[in-house]
Amino acid sequence: MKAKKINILLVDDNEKFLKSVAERTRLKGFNVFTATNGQQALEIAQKQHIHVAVVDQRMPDMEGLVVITKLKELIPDVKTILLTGHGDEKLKEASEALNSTYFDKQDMGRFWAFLSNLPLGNINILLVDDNPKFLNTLAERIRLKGYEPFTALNGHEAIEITKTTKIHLAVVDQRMPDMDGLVVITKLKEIDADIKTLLLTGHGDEKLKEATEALSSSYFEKEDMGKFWRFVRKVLQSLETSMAAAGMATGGDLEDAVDIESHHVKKK
Amino acid sequence: MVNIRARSVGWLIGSLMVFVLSCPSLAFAAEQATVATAVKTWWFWPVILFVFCLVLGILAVMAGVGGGVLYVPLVSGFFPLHIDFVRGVGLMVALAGALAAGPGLLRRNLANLRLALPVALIASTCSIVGAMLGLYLSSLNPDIIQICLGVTIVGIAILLLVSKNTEKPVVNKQDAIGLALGLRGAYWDDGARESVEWKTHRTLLSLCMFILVGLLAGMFGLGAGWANVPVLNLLMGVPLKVSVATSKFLLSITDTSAAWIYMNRGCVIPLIGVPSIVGLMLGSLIGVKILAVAKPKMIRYMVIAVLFFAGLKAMDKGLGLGILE
Repeated sequence: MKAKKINILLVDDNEKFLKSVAERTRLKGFNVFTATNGQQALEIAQKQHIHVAVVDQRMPDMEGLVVITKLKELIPDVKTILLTGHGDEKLKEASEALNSTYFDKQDMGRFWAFLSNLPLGNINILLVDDNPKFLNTLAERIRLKGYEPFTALNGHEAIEITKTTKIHLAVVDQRMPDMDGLVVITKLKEIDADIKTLLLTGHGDEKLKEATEALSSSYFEKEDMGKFWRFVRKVLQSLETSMAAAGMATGGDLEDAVDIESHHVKKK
Repeated sequence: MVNIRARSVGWLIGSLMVFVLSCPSLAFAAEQATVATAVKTWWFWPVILFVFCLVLGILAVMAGVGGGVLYVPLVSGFFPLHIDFVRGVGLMVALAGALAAGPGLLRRNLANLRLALPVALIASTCSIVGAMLGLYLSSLNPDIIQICLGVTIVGIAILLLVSKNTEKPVVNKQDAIGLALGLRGAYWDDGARESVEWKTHRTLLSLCMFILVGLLAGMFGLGAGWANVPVLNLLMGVPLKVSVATSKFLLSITDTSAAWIYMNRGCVIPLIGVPSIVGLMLGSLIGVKILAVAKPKMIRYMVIAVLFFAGLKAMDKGLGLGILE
């Protein structure tokens, strides 16, 4: 995997906030450039090749969305993120229309998670599954994350691809007609010891999991309860927020209670 | 438009309040009638209590007054239940509200653990003493507790009426005890878009005040948010936001200690507790939704007036004057 450093441009008129975000971003291993207004940001973008720009919406000289539009004119492949403390649904839509990611300052956790997941260069992913429908869906989802995956419908195809192309990550199904996923993983590792592998299965058991881990490969079950748990988590979060707001209200702080509750409603 | 909406919500709440006060008396009248015909179902009072508490939960949130503070005087004043049972469940009600709010407030970095823990140590110890003292006094004569409760409730009504909390109190120099305990912190103010740093002063005096707060909370099962917030905010100089959130978190410790004493003496009856807690929790959820749309100020004054009346009624009941019967 190439260790290519990513240039991040942070634009915010609040210098204190800018400084703290910049420090944390540097700690994550990125090259950081800072600007306190839109004009300064554009000047930096003319001189440097910026990969990612994180822009505040409210600034004295020009709005964040305007800065993003101008940055995209200068560097068409720049990834942009609108960061705002006063977000609403319209702003979110406008930001998405500009093909830009939107984060709320109230929820910096998501922003940091996003930065941590930024691809650090070109990664070749190989998907192996005998079910073409599942393979296509998986490939589509990976394409949405910004990667172009290789696909194989059986173990032999996968081995052929790995022989000719440098593969960084292989996602392999366990049950396939020509050979088992574990066998495919073993053969792929013989070809390239550095390859990272991941076993996907709809019929998992503890032994299979242990065998996968013995091959220093990761293991996932297809039929996870993700959707259900996401729903439960959402309901619990909503209840937690409303009760926190009720707590603030019964303590006599109606303003903050309304803030907590309406912010949550907006986010939904 | 907002005014009209606020006014209509105001009228709605006004009607709810009339309903709250008439609810037990109507039920009581119905009970008299049913007693006459010797037909009485076990779920009669729990259902009335549930509806009463549901409305109480809505009003508590909209008025900015704790559920426990409203619950004890109103239920003991208007329902045919012994004061010990009402106080026991009152603590459970306050505890449920605090426990439900705690995680959200801690996650938002509003409740401060460093501030809460020394205060909780004092207040929860004293709330145990308060609970034991309250039950002892009640065993001597329940009227003593009724009178003391009445005086406290009138005091709380006056406190709610006159106390003006400060959003960001100015503390020029932190005192030695506050410094030693590390009672300082910072939170992000989204409105002003800045990080607000705070520290405490008059720490010793405030900690002493929590002895009294703990005693009262345990003795009457009132929760103690009404006392915690002014002490933290006005005396110690903690910002309002942090005071309210920390006070809520504090209640989950203080009230637990006192609640054990009541549970141990058999004062927490599920048939009273479950409808009360479920009603108040649901009411709070509805109240928050209404509050996000409109917040008519008169609700607070109406609730304070009701509290004042309930306090006087408790005194009247304790003294056996029969003026407000």
